[in-house]
Amino acid sequence: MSELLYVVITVLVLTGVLALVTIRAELFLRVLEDLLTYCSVGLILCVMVWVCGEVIGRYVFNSPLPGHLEGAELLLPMIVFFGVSYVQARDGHVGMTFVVDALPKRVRRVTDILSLIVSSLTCAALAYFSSKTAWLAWTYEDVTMSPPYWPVWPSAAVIPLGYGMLSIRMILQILQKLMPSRFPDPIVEHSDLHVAE
Amino acid sequence: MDPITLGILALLALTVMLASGIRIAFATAITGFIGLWILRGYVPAASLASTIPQGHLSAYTLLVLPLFIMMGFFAFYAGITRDLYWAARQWVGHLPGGLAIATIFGSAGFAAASGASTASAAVMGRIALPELKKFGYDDKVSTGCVAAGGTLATMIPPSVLMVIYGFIAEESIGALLLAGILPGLLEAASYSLMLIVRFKINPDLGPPIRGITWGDRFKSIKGVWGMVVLVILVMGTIYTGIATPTEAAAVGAMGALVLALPGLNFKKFRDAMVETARSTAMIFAIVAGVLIFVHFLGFTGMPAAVSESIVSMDAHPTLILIAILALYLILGMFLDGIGMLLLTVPIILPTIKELGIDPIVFGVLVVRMVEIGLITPPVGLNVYILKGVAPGVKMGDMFKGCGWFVFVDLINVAILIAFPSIILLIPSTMIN
Repeated sequence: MSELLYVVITVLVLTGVLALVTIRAELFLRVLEDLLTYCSVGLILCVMVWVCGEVIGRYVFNSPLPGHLEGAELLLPMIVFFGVSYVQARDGHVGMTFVVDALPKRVRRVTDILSLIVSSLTCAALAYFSSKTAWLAWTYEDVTMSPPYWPVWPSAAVIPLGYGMLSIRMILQILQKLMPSRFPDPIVEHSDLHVAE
Repeated sequence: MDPITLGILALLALTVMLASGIRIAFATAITGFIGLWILRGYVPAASLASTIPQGHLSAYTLLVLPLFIMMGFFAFYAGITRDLYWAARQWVGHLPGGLAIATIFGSAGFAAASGASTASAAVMGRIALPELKKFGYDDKVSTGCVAAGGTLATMIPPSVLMVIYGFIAEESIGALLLAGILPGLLEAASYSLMLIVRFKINPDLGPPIRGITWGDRFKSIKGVWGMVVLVILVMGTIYTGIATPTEAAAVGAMGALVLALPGLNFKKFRDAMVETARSTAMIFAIVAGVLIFVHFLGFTGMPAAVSESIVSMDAHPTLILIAILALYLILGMFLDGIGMLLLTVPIILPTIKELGIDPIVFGVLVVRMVEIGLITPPVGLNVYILKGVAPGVKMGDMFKGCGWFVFVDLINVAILIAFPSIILLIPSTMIN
């Protein structure tokens, strides 16, 4: 249980450090988020080609691709967690905002900061917990059930990375709300065609 | 503390957190974790929180989501939407309210390539609204058509919400996708019928299009045949059991990419792919958080208790079903559809099964109710999206325009409750 206290202390220390280097941290995180989102894009394309290859291999050449099912499964957490911080940076995570939207501007700002603090701590805790699973997968050399026995750790390791970046992104968003002048211009959207549901 | 009381308190805490603006993905995770901590102790709670994202998200069936989302984006960039709308305009434009009906059929066509209601409304809004305006159609009817037409995307496969329901209810995703076909077509047909009646009674709402020849009609098919073949290929392979939904989605996405290639530059390709990655991350972040919460609710025994107390009321199952759907209608006015499905289905489904209602039928009905929430105030997402496309039309007028469609939707839901075989007809004949 004391480990949660360490998570809170880490988040506090991180907040202090990030407050000193706001612009650099923000720009670095933006580059990292873009890079990882492009990795996610690449993986989605890989899955598409891989699964199509499996269908063609099975029906045309009577030769299914070995390990395609488990391999594709392992790619899904990577596709997801490479992009979670990118989504947060664009305020893309879904919530019920109509109550908060109706509040006066100043109250809303306080509510936003409080909800970011709770969310940031949640993500930091999830990053810590999932890092333990990833560490176990690494130390036990965990692999999938059938040949070619894909290693599980890369897929498991992406989850703490994603939640960790998400937590840092939220800390930066808190700092941005507290001292907006010390941040670069907000991110400009490429597309206004978003899928919600 | 009594586990059920704890479950109720957790639901209240979650509601407060959501109302204070905390995103669903994080509010559910923290509530679920703290709930588990109180109920089972710190170590089991931490252990569950550490294994759920990796253990539950690595599911082959879930890969269908990014692939279907990608298929929708490529279909849009292939110019399919404009061609579908144009073909629908040529074929039904001569009817009373022809252009409005064409908007509905164009939306239905795009729904067969895209699984997202809001994307469909945004895309169709940009294409249909200027055309409707040009012909002098009433603003309320025009925006209502586009917003309601967008909801067809979640009924007609591929549907993001159907996949999410199938995942959380542990039902066949293939069967659920196929189950949406007839209700989706019924919906499009009944919207059109309502429009014909309204335009017949009040021709001032907008004129039909004159002077379309049979030559024009057959020429318009040229632009949509590729998409028709693609859709038949995707749903056909699921129906015949040749491919799993994930495999069919991969083939569909590849096919849509091939169709889109002639008009696809690097920027469009990047936009489509980044939006796919973004939507996938957003949806699965909710799934990961909600799963922690749902596991906690399972440990409290709340779903079973809810089921027991509802079943013991001794009311007719249809009456209970109607009451549950009414609850979804109210919740849908305020909550996001994906979050609402993920949070409520694990609680409600044991009751539904206990009452002897087919989970596939329930899935279609619930998704329908969620979609009605997209065109009802105060948080009708499709209408909000249209506000960006048609800034000149008041939000209140848009919601008023949706009123007739909501009325038709409710009649449709009543028909589906009375004749569930409409939903089950195609899945029951599914091969393999």
